[in-house]
Amino acid sequence: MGERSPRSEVFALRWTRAEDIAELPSTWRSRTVIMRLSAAKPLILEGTGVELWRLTETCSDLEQMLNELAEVFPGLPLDEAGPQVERFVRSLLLEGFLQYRDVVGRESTASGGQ
Amino acid sequence: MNHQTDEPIRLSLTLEESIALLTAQSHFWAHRAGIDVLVLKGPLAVEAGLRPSRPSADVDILLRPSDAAIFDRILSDLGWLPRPHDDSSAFMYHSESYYHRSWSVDIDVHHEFPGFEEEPEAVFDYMWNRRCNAVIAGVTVEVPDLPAMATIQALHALRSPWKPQHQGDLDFLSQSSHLPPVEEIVAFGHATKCLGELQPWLQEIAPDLPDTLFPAVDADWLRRQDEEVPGVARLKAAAHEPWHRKPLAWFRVFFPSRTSLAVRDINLLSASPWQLNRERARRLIEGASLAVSRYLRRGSGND
Repeated sequence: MGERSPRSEVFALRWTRAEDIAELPSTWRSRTVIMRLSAAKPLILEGTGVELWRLTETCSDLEQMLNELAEVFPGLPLDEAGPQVERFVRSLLLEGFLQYRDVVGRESTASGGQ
Repeated sequence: MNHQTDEPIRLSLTLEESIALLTAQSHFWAHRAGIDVLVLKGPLAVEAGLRPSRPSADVDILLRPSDAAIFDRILSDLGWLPRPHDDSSAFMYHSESYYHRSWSVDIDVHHEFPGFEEEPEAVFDYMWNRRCNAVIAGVTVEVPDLPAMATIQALHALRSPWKPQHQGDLDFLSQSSHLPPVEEIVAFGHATKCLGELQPWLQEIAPDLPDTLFPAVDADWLRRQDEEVPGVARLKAAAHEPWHRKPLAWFRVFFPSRTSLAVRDINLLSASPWQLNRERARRLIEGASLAVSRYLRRGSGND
């Protein structure tokens, strides 16, 4: 996590899960389906997406999430993973699965992670 | 990290996933509007151990008849359209099926359940007052308690006992270790007036139950049970129409309307006259073939 300073604004991104989520975890394959009950747009998560979705419940910001991810996937290059995780979180925020708790950073954080 | 974490991708849902999500969502819509709903049959009956494990074809919910119009508006606003009714059907409709172009399963909204002879509103209230909670897709919903759930499963199977799947369902139910005590089912059946309809099953699982316990069943129930061949009930109903309504009734039997045909295939709502006539011919041939095979089966003593 040593090179996080250029993206410090990104790490300030904080969220909480929406309350009206239906979730179908699959135990027999790496797949989870989520849907906001008020929106009726199901989203299928597979592979790492399942793990990231799980982490959005136990973590409430990117820094915490990347730390947890590093424990689950030792050796994961966080510099590369960081922007991808950020995009994932932002897409969930956009779809309403996550809700902003508070954002210290500015809109530039979206491109700052590219 | 795979590409799916870069951008979540919408893929097709399995039947089970669609059923679970729409069950949770139907409950959500109703709850938000202050409407009480009970989830019937389907995966929650499987979970309760009263139904064999197999995917359901639709979501089944029960509500008070007085709430049906409100819920209809809610579903319509969300893009769910009622499936057409067969206007030549011999039976009153007990539910409305809704379809949506984005979903592969229907939502069946029951405002009553065939087999209960008590008033539908009273049946719902009785079941609602004894309801239990169940969780589907992480959402808590209301379901009938075990005696009510077992009764509904049994009535559903007994309505068309000649279907192999229903025979299997009834056998499963009879042998289920989760089946509540017979006296609880009898008490529920007495309160909701469906003991007569349940008689064949109850006397199978409890042969000691006396015949005097069971009242005669409704004629409509007997007609439903006799509809092994599609259209036979329509023929019988047409034959019993008053003389001044017979011509139209017979015309509808052999020349079903567009909406009647669309009950089985929604695409026929916009089909050409030629396609409709082809479907009418196909339906007639299918009905005649089934009637002949049934007659032959009876003749050989296999029925």
